[in-house]
Amino acid sequence: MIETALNLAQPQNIAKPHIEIENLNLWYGEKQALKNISMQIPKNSVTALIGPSGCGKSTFIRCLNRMNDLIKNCRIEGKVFIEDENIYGADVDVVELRKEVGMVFQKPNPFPMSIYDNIAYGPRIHGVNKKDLDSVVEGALRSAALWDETSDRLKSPALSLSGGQQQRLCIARTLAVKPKIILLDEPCSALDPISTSRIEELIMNLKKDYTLVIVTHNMQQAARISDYTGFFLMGELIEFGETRQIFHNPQEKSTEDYITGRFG
Amino acid sequence: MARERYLSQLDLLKESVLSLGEMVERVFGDSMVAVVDLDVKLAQRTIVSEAEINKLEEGIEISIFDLLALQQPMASDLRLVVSSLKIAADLKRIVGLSINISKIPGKIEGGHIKPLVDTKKMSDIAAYMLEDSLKAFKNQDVELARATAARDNEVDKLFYAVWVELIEMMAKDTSIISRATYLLFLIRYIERIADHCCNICESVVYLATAERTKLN
Amino acid sequence: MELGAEANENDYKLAKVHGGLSMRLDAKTSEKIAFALLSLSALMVVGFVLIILSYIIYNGYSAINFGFLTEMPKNRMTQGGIYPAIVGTLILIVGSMAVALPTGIMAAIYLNEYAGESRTTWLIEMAINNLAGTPSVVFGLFGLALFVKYFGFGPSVLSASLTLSLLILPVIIRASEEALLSVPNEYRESSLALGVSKWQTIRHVVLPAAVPGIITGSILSIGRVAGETAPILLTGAAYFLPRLPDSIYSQFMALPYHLFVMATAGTNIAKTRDIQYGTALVLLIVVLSLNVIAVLIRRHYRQKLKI
Repeated sequence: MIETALNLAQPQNIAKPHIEIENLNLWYGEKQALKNISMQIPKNSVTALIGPSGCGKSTFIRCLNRMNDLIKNCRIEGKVFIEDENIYGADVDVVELRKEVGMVFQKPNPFPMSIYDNIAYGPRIHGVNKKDLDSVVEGALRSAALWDETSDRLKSPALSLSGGQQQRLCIARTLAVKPKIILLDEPCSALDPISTSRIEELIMNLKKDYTLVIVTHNMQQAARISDYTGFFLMGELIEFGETRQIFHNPQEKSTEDYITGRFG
Repeated sequence: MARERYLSQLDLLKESVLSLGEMVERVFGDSMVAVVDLDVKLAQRTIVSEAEINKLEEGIEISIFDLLALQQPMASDLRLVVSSLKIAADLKRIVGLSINISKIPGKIEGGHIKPLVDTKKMSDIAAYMLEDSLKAFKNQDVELARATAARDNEVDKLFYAVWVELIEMMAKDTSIISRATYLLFLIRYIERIADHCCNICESVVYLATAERTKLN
Repeated sequence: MELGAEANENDYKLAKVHGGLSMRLDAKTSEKIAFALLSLSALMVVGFVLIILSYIIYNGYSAINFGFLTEMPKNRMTQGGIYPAIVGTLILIVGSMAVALPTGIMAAIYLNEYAGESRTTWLIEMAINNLAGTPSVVFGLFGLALFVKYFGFGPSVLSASLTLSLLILPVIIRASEEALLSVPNEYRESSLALGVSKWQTIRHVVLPAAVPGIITGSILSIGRVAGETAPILLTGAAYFLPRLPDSIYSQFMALPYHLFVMATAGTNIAKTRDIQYGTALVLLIVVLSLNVIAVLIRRHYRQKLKI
């Protein structure tokens, strides 16, 4: 017991990075939104990205599954390695990439279909057999801590769920496709505190099997749930490190100013 | 359940403070035995154990900083964390004082100048105060905390009685002055330990009721 | 109060009485006036519709009976029924929708989901707008030139259907584009983020969600197809045919044309007045019933999509 008390206080081991970003730059037309970002994201951890609005953290996270490809006039330079493969390389299949790297958005947005069809949507299109679909759906709902609440009404519309349940549905929908990395773009900002708390628990449980990157404007949330934190400001990565260290004793003054709320 | 990890961290903090308390009780007990029996070997072992205790105390402090920085404890959780910090600090001082006590046997040549009756009484009361204040912390028992702190009066009375006695003895026989001063230090240390136990009791009352009181 | 002088208490009181009181009157009465005018306009519109409907019903109901609806015309249109005209109109509706609906939806998908903001896109949009504003008789002439003469289909169901499909194409494209635009982008993003391709996303999420809007466009088109006279005039409508059209290359009868000829150049205008009103009533009923069916279908889909 005493030993565990001491372990609580020791830093975690740094693992081989699951995602490695090298000198990433991004322009919207003439405006540069990301300036020379380099970062290593470890496997099976929760990495939080914090910073004031407009600092580029959402833009950055959307680079990790190439969702920025959808935006016109968006130019990207630099490399993003996922398991040693540069996802901006020449013959990368973006559709396959997005199976490996899932994303949950800020506003819960289930499709206008039943709960079952929402979860089964991805697997069906990817060719999962009809007889396996039931177990895939159940597995995903269980992992998202939603099975108990929905197992008796899988055919009812997804939009009849509450906001927090809808967001967990979106997480289950992403899990059903069996990604390795899950990106979450401010997943709790549209939810009440209790739903937020449940999703935070869920995120911390998921890190045993997935690598999670979460953008949040709520610093306390980043402090509660993440293992590593990156602070973005005006398109630059100011500081990146273990969450304990960032919130105890940040190295950069701007990080400290932001965390202590001295920011304008 | 929400915030399971956080809640178990809080439980762990409380357990660690109680473990620290247990270790401190042992050190105080051993140091008193060493000084009464003039057991230099026991005293030496006690002095060496200080390092391990300090390590635990440091770990507790770091967990507290973690909880404050990362988990935003509120209300009674916040009082628990803050009280734990203060109690750990008081326990650390008690350890320091016990180590000081353990250094005395090595300095006394030729046996004690008098049987340590009242001194032993003082240290027994202080030991009970330590045990009870930790029990009060464990159970958030405000009654016990107040009652424990009240016993500091007894310790103070004995302190003055022994002090006067030693001064009189020193005036009559100057050859014992050196050994007598160590006994003066000893009763001073015990009296300070009892004071720190009162501090612990104050922290317990604050933890349970959010009230700040001065209990002696 | 003079300019430059300090305002005193009395000045304010006065201003309040004048400005305050008169402003209050203004706001309240102008509200009332506005509401009255708006309600009046709405009532007038409804009123006109009711007047037209009741006029036609009043004048036409006497002609309606089972025979009217199911028999061929007899005795130079003065007796018998308008069955072939009903059938002809229905065939035209089906034929033109069969061509325009898929084409229009696919064009809308291309324009909304795939096309970028380029010169070409702008030209296409311009073309659609122009098509929408072209008078229907011009369509008729075009159909005559292209389908009847150049392709050699002759005056036929085929030529008329194709001509009518051109007529309703812009309506369908516009309505489908609106419907696709109204599908929230979040659906597309979520689908793509699941590793689903763009076309699969359109097929499984976007298009189904756009169905109600597309149906709305279809409802508007049905009305137009059923009622247009000029385009079918030049491409194959006939006043009297001894039998129903037996292939897409045959000519056909149609309700609006039938009505037009009976009322203007028929063999016995005065005597067939009730048949004319009857025909108008039938046309109205056909269009209305098809609209009701479409609205029911749309409601079903809307319920499926929302809660």
